Amino acid sequence: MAIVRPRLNDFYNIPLKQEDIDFALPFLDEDIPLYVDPFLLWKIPSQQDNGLHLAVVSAFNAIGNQFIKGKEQEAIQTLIDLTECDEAGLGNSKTRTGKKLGVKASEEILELFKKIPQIKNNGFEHFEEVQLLIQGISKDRISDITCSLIKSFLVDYTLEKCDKYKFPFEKCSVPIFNIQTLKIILEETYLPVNPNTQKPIILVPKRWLRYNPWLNYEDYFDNYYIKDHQKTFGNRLNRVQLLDFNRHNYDMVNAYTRQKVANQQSCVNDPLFTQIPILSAKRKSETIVGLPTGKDQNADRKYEDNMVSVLASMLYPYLDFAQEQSRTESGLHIRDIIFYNNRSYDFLTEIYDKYEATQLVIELKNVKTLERDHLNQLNRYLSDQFGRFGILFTRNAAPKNIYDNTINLWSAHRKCILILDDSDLVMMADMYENKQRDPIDIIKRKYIQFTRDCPS
Amino acid sequence: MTEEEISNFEKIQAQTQSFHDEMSALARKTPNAAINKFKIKFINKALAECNDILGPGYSPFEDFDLFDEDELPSSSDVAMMLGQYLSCLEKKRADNIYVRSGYYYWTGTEIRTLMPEKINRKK
Repeated sequence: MAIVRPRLNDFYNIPLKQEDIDFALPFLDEDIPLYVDPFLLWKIPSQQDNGLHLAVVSAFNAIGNQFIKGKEQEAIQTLIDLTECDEAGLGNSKTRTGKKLGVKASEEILELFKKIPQIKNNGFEHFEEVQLLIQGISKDRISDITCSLIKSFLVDYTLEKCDKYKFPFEKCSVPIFNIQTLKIILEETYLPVNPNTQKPIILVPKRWLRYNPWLNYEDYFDNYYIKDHQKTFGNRLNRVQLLDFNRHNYDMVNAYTRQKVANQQSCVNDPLFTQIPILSAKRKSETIVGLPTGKDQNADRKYEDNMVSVLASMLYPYLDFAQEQSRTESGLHIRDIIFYNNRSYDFLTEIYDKYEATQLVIELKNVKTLERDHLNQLNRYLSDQFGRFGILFTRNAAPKNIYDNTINLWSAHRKCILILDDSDLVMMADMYENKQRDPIDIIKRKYIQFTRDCPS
Repeated sequence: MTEEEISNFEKIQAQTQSFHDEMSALARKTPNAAINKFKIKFINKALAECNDILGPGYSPFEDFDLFDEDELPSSSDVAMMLGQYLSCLEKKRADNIYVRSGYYYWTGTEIRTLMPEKINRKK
């Protein structure tokens, strides 16, 4: 059965809630849109993380030193090899593959060790400053270089997690940076592999991940250069000019770094999923309930957009959001939300066992009255994938004949389609607000009522 | 009723009254809010004891025993049922006391108790 946006644990049928584990669950077919921020390795009060940061910076500086001492080609090649770490699966690639940096850009980075006296003499303390000095170096390169330099640790970390969570692993070859020789060597080790591509996968701790590094160009430009220094230095500089200016005025970059270090309390990792605030959820629910049914004034689009946002938050952490998707069937546009069924709740385990529901699909219908066609659309969709369990979220309670149809569907094909409406949404929003019960209990209650109505 | 049964009865009645007061206060603020599992668990424990004490003759409803947490009972639902149980507990108590010299005692004992609620209300 095909899984939408499969993660490593989904393929191996290992039920895990992202909230309960300390690493980011990797997707099999695409990158996680987060990046390792080396500043977090430095900031987190952990000797292990601080030691890894020291290793990263020392290694980076050692490569720069190698460049200064005349082994330029070796240093450039090593740096090029460090600038892509496909095994980690972080970034914005839709295929889990990326491109390494070119020779010219790598040379420009290493030239910093020759051209900037402070770096020549002392090296970098936070090598992310490269983003403020060289064109084309951004969060993805910083993340990949960091992962590549500590890959040996990440391999051990991955194996520890495989042992704990029973991920299968295989023998494979992985390029690992050797700090003594400053070279990348292929090492044979054991790692989980992508079942489709057979490429090795390494796991990364969640606590190191951010959408943007703490030190980054945009923050430097908007909150430091523009605010404090543009007036002093005259005309507005474009990016290339500013990077060149930074290379000639490294003290500015250093001062920015010191400022960011002073404000480090605000530097925290970004979660892989953030629930919307309670007030926002309440307002969206009220908006939804106040929308007219049908398509007038784009009401269906508004309904769907708000529902996606609200349900993804309200059902977290019991259900991890996988994807919202649109499809067309018989000329009709249908929008649905897919969740991973991580069996984190008793009723989710039951629907997994009884209905093979590896993922939960919730179809959204902004209609006044549910009709048989709506039921059939979801029924056909369930036949292709997702198991035999689905949810229809609509505006008003289903008419008796439609509800009876769902019972008949169960009797004939052992499929379970639950129908929820605005009144259930309001109760879920109230529960999300007052935290006495979980909004997923509304779906569970509906399921229990449905099973009681089914013939024995 | 034995002295031990009377002691147990008074304890359960007091607990049920306390739960009822708490739930009524909640129900006034948010009548439709679902009660959390922690509260349901302990309310059900008290109701189980009430069911034992009342037996089939005094039980408020023959098709209700305990709250099902999966049904998501609201604060007003719980307050209402606890009120029913309190009335039935009071009926059983009123049927098992006697008056002597203006004071009320549990039948077959010298343990004093309050006058029946229905008489108290008439006053």
